[in-house]
Parts: sequence; C-alpha cells; structure tokens
Amino acid sequence: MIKAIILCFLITTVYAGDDKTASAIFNMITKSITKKSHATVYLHTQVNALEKHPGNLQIIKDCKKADLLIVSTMDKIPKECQQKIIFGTRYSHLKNSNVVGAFFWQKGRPNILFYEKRLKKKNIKLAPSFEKYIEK
Amino acid sequence: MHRKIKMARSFVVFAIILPLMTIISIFLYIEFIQTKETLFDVIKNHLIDEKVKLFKNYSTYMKGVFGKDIKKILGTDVITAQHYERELRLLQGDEIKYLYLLYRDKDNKFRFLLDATQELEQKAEFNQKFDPQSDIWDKAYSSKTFQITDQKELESLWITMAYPIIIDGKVVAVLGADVTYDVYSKIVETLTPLELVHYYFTIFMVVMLVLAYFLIYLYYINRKKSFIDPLTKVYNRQYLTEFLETTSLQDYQLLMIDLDHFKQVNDSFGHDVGDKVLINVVSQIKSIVRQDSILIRFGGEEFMLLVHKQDLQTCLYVAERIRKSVQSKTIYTDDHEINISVSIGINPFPYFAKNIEEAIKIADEQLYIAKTSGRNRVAVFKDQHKEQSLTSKRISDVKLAIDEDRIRCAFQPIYSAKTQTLSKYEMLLRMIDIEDNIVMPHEFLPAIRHTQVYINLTRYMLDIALQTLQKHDFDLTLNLDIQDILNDDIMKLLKDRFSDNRAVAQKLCIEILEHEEITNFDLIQERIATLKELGFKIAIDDFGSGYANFRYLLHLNIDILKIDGSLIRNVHKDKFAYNIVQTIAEFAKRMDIQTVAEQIETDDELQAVMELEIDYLQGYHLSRPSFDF
Repeated sequence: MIKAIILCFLITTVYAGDDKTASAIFNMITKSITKKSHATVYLHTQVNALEKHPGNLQIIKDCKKADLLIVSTMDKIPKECQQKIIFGTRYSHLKNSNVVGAFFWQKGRPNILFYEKRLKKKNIKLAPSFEKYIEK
Repeated sequence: MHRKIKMARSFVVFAIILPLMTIISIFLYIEFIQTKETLFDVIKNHLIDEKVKLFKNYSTYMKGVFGKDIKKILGTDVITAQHYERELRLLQGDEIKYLYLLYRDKDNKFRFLLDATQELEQKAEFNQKFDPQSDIWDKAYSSKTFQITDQKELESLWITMAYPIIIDGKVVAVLGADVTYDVYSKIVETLTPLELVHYYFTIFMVVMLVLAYFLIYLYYINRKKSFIDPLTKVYNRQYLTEFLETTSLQDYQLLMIDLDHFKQVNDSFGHDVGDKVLINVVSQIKSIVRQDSILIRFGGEEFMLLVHKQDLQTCLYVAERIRKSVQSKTIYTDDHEINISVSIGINPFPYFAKNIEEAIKIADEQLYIAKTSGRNRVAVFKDQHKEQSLTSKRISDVKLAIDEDRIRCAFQPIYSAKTQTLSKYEMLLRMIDIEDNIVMPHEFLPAIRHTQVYINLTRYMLDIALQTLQKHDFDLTLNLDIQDILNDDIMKLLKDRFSDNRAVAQKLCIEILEHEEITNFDLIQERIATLKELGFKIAIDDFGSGYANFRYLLHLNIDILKIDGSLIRNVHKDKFAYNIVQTIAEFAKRMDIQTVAEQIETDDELQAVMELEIDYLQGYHLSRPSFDF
C-alpha cells in the first residue's frame, strides 16, 4: 500500500526532465520486475535519468550479466541479450513483443504501461501497486 | 534619578515615516500580486468560456455524426479516424497544446479515441491507455458537466479541461484539452519586471526599516551613555542642555554642591582614592534626595542638584541633610579614613534668571559665599534678590518679543461728545508672551525703563504710529512718560521721524504720563515747546491724580487734559468727584484746553460727563480697545 502511495506520488509530482524522480520510478519498476534491491541494469543506449542518478541500481556495461535492459531505442540491441527482460522508455518500444513494459512521457504526463502476457511469458509478477498499469 | 533621554525630532519623524513607507510598499506589493492573480483569473475564465462554447458545438456535431457508436466506428475505420483527427485539430488553436477524445472502458480505464497531436512522440494511438493525473475525467463522466483542473505539476501546461460528449443522456466520450502555459507565461513575462521592482523595493524598505531601528537603538544607547559620567554614574554637564530642552526650570530649585578641600584628598591619597570619595559622596547625596531630583556632575568635585520646587525651608532642610550626612560619614578606602565636607549654594528661584547660565551663576555666588564663610555650610540666594532677577528676565522677555514681532498695538476709539462721532484712537501698547497671552504694559514697562530695550520699544511704537497715520485719515494719541520727554534719545527719535512729516505730526497727540514728580520744570517746558513746534498736540494724562496738577495747566502749553479715570468712576453719584471734574472742565474751558473723560464704563457715568460738557469721551462703555480698527 505504501509503495502504491509512493508510486502515485512520484507519478503525479514528476516533471519531465526531473531526472531524480524519473530514476526513482525506474528503481521501483526494476525492483518489482527483478525482485532484487540492487539489480544489475544495462542501459541501451542512453537513459539520462539513470546515468545521472542510478540509485540502488547497478549499471553495468555487459548486457549478458544484466537482470534488466532499459532501452532508449530498439535499434542495435545486442543479439545475445534480445531475449532478456527489456523495459522501454517510449510507447513505440512496446511494439516489440520482447519489451515487457515502458515508462515514457506523453503530453507532459508520465505513463507506465505493462503487458500482462509478456510479463507472464517472462515469469514476472509485479507488485500489486503496479496492477493499474498492466494491460490485459 | 535617571530620566528618559529625549529622542531627536528628526529621529521620531524618521521612525514614523519609514514604517509608514514600508507598510505602503508591502501593501502595494500585495495589491500588485492580487491584481495579477485577478488578471489571470479573468483571462482563464475568458479562455474557458470560449473553449466551452467551441466544445459544445463540437459535441453537437459529434452526436449528429456518430450517435452512440463512436468507439466502434473510430476503432474499425482508420481512415475515418484520421479524418476526424484532422477535424479535431481545427479546434485546437494556439492556446490548446493537446486536444484528444477519450472514452472509459469497462475496467474504468480511460483510453484514446482520437488525438489531434501531430508530433509522433506525443501522439497516442487508438485505444491507448491514458493515465489520469486528476479526477476530472471521472467527474465529467459522473456529473455530465465540463471539468477543469490547474496543471501545476505538468510541465508547460496551465489547465486541463474535460468536456463530456453526451448522447441520449449518457456520456460516451470526454473531450480533453490541455491549455498551454504560453498565455500565462507571456503575462508573467510582461509583469515580472514590475513585480520584481515592487518586490525588491519592499524588501529594501523592510531592510531599511530594520536597519533604521537598529541605528536608532544604537543612537539611543550611545546618547544615553554620553550623558552619564563614567565615574559617578550621575549625569554629566552635557545632559543639562538636553534636560532644559524638555523641562522648565520653573519646577526646580538649583543647588551647587562642592566638596571642600578635595584637592588635598587627591594630593595626599592619590586620584584613585579621590575617585572613591566622589563616588561615596554621590551615593550619600542620592540616598537623601528624591528619585526625581537631577544630580549632575558639573565639574571635577562640583555637582549641580535640581530638586523639585518646594518652600525654601524644605529646600534648605534637604541641603542641610546633605551637608550633615557627608560631614558625619567617614569614608574608608585603601586603608585610609577620610572625612570630607561639602559647601552648598542654593538658588531657589532659577526660573527668574535670564537663562541657565545666570541661574547657575547665582547659585555659584552663594557657593562662593559658603566657601569664603568657612566651608561646610549652606548659603541661600535671598528673596530680595528675586526682584532683581525678575527684572532681568523681563528685559530679556521684551527684547525677545520685539525680535519675534510679539509687540502689538491696540487702538481704543475716542468719541466727540458734541458730534457723538469717532474722533480719534488712543494707541495702547501690548506684549504677547510665548504662551500667546496678552501682557499689559504696567507688567513689563517698569522693569525695562532706563534700559536700551525701552528706547527700542519706543522706536517700535513710534514707527507703528507713523505708519498708521500715513495709511489712515484719523488722529492718534500716544502715551509717553514725562521722563521720555526728558530723554534725549527719545526726543531724537521723535524729531527723526516727524520733523519732515509735520502734517502727520499734527495728527498725533502725545499723552504725557507722570510716574515721578517733575523737578526740572524748565526743561519740561522747553521739551514740550519743541514737540509743539514739530506739530504734535500735547495732552496731560490721568489729570487729577498723582503728580499732575493745575501747575501744569498754568506753565505748560498743553492742548488736552485727560481727566483721571478714578474721578470718572462713579462721577454720577460721587458728589466730590463730580465737583472736581466740574472744576477741571470749567477751568480747562477758560484756558482753551480740550478735555477727555476716560474709563467711562456705565451709561450713568456717560450721562454725567456729557452734562459736565466734557469734549471727548473714552471707555469700555463706548468701545473696547482692539487690534483692528
């Protein structure tokens, strides 16, 4: 419940370009996906918010060792990592079925979106606080 | 013993004006902010009104086109959807950044039907989930009325409107419009410089206010310190000026206290011991006098004590108590036993002195007497000296009144008994004191007689007489003392002013008064002759009383007799007075001298003097003196 309140608060107060808040949201999403407090994350190719403020995430350069890939583009994702859990930063990233969800800005508002089938395929069970962001 | 230090007037004005200006600037700043907010509200409401009208038309149009099947049609036919998105874009205008149509699915999630946004990154797809940031969407569905929310949290957005599209009484979609911040920003941009000026000015005023009060506080503290003698902690000499600015000496008696043979104490035991003796003596004086007495260290071992005015015996008693207390107390300091005494000079009437210096001088003279009479005693300025002091004060009062233009002339009409018409005016001298009270001449003339101030005052009066006669067509009478006629300076004044103005001099009658018996009758005769040559008429004032007698009528060439008011008073019932006035009147007629009855205060007196055929009439019954004609 507290997590849901924090997430709602972050979502409703975040400004575009507010990297610290965006990083906090990425941290919560990553923790919920990986169930790890200090998950390893590979950034493809540039995710400013996490590069500046990684928080509890361990940003690594080898995508094979990463628990999660957070991508800013779908182009040139290393082949060996294409089957890993991929999280997008644009709505268009969701067109790729390997992407389980995305956190993106649209019309000045932050949006979080997950696809239920893709989560199941990757055996991911998100925390209840993310329930309202899951598309069936 | 310590009084409040008076704050300089400029500081008081400063302390009032600055907070006032600060309050005004804060008020103006708040007013500015409120006006700005009101302006925003007006613009916002206007914008909302406009958009609501537009959306209402759009809603009507959508009803006609789609009916209830809006979602079905748009979801299945991409070309149609694109067409209506283009149409929707036409409503957008400059103020709306994002315009879109949403519907609520069975899970109560909002999804896009149409999105007028052209930018690919920002454009939502059909059926894409919309995460609401506020409850206006649900409210629009439930209340079926348009909803508005301020978008303070969303970048570049000002307000969001949710307009329900109602078909057959049911909300089928909500038109969402995000109004851009651009309008708001433009207004803010325009108003910001003005707001900043207001803001910084207010801050500046507040800082200045704090600084000013701090400076006033420092000034007050330092000023207070500057009036205190650091050794004895009583006032120093500087305080006296400050004290006299706020307080009159009238309420005080002045004592000068001096320690006897204090130099010997310093020479024998050193200055440190001397200082301790001073502190000790001050402490004893303070223990005897009242809290509201003012003790000032006037010099090395000399103190001035101002005690509240009381009878002389009480003042003497206080002085004696101080003297005895100091004498009886042995001061123990640094293994020394010191006995000291004081001499005290008292001026019980410092107010009568011309100024504080003179008041101190009088007390100092008494102190000198006390010292030369063997020390350890009290000497008092005696009561008989008071008159001298009073005279001195009167002289300075008149001097100041001349300088400050507070010498005035009143004019009392004199009527002709024969024609019963106004004949002339008598000029009467008046002084206005600093409290605006009228002071009669008998209250100040005796004090200034035989001084240069008296000559100056006479000059002043003659100038007024001359100016009045030149301006007006009536005659005047002016009072001069017989001694004035004998005074060369005054005779010179009369000659200087009237020798070339014979026509004017003929309109002026000099009434001669007497305060002393004339001893030099020949000189008087000569002076009156001179005055008559200049053209003046001569009258004898207060005839029938004092020194003025029939000898004057025989030997002085006079024109008019003014019968003394004491004879006129009750002339109608006092047979003796009646007979005297009758004799004077008959004698004057025979001598071809005109008569004036003065101080007529009742109708009976008036009838009596008319019966006695007096030529001219004057008195309160007829007319009072006035500063105007």
